[in-house]
Amino acid sequence: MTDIPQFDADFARSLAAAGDTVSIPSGLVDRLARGVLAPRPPVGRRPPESPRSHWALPLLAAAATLVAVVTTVAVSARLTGHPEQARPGISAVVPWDPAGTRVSSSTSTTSTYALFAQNVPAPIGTRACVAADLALVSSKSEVRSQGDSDDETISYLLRSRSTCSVNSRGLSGALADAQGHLIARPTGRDFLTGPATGLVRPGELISASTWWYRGPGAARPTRFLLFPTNSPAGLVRSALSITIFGNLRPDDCCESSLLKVQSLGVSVFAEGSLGSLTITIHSPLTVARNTNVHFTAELSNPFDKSVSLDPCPGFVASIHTVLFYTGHFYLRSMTGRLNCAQAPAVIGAHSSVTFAFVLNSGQLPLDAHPKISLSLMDPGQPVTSAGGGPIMNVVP
Amino acid sequence: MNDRDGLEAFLSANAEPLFRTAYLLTRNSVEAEELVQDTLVRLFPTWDKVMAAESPLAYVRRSLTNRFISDRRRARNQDISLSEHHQSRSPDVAELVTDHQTLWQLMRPLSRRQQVALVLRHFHGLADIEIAEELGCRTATVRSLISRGMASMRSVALQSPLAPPHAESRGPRS
Repeated sequence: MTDIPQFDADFARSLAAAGDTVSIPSGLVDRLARGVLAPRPPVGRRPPESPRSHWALPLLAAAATLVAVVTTVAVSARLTGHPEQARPGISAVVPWDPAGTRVSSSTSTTSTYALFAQNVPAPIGTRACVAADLALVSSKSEVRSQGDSDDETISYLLRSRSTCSVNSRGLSGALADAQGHLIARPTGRDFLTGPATGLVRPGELISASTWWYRGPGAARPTRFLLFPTNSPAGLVRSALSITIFGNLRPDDCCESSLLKVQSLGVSVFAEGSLGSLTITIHSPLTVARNTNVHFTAELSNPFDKSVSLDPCPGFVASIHTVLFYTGHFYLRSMTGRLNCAQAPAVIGAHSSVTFAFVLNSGQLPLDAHPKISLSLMDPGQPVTSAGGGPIMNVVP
Repeated sequence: MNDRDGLEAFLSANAEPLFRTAYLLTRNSVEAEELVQDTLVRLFPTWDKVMAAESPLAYVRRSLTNRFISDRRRARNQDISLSEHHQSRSPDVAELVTDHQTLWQLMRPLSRRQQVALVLRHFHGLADIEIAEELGCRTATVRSLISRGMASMRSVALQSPLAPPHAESRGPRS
């Protein structure tokens, strides 16, 4: 027989000791308070959101049975500051045309985290991309100071030389110091759904970003090591290494202050496709219930190939709660096609076209903190490009 | 006191015990802080209900443990292999549970409800009826969760490749 009483007593003692002796993170109370009270995702816990970032986007596919099937879609951020991303030309706004649109609503208490772009699933047997398949086109890092801590994001654009597959739910990355020693490994959560692997063809681009939270006193990492396959251990030498910072602070801290290295998703697309467009939503900062929300979506083409609007792309425009703020989910979506009749036939290289939209807000909860999102799709195809607007406040 | 002041006062008094509870469940400081924060973010819109509870700490802890149980997204920690860990260690069942990593490894296969029940029992010292209230189940269920959880861990410990062949003959430790 096992010595049951002794085992149980040792377990109880060990568990209590583990709880009693865990070191409380510095600044825990302040960070928790800021995270709850701040009108933005909790400090150090959520990916930073920039006005030009593609973001979570709910997609409602309303079936003929009127049963709404909700899929939340987001696309990883396209880079700002790419070498090939000149400031796009500003066009006149293409007016709103409600013809042919359909509106559906859905509410849920189920927590629904954003999905990322629906890349083309890689066929079984497709070789996983390795660093040698990929060339770094550009990268951009952004630091947001939050008192004594920083949110840091690195966005990168890669071009593939081969046919291979990437993990659509996030490329694996790690941080290294000036000497090349790993100081933080990825700790992201696998909360994303959708195809796990995305097909990448020669010449196609991969846009992704990774963020981490840096605690007080932590040294800045100097290198971001990218592992296209999810096995960082032992592959350091074959990783793509991206310089991100100089050492701006004394290297005086500990690994534990670099808390989370989390990928924000991966988008694979070809230049000249809808997927290459950056969508920037301009929407009001307050919204009333049961009123028409007027917003615009600027479709920017930062690349060298024009994007055709023939056939006319479909869209899903949504007003939805942001679940980091509230425990319930509200979604009101509208599907249709862009007003291509009054738009240019193409979005030229380094140019943009802005479309106007009108969507009724419906019965938004007063504590909803909603946002507007828009996704585009080739007719009959999964969402290929998406973008979200700022968080709004609901007024009665 | 408005909600903001109430939250700050609550956190000053209770952030640490909540973090310790979350740490024992997630076995990871980062995930623990995130679990606490996610819980608070969810509760804050109805903070007056929290403050009106007989024990606001118990109210929040209950929400936290329920969130842990229901949150299937929360990744399991990358615990080390039990057999690897044992290779250089004394084959003593009692010693197995004195090391945190081994503790995590033993708890990992348990259901989340079992883990919560064990933490509430052995860290917070709650009685069956109090645990039942937090878990929203009967006391018999609590007893079953704890009993089966302990039995499962004992079984894992003894089935380890390096488990002591003489473990069955060990007497009580003095």
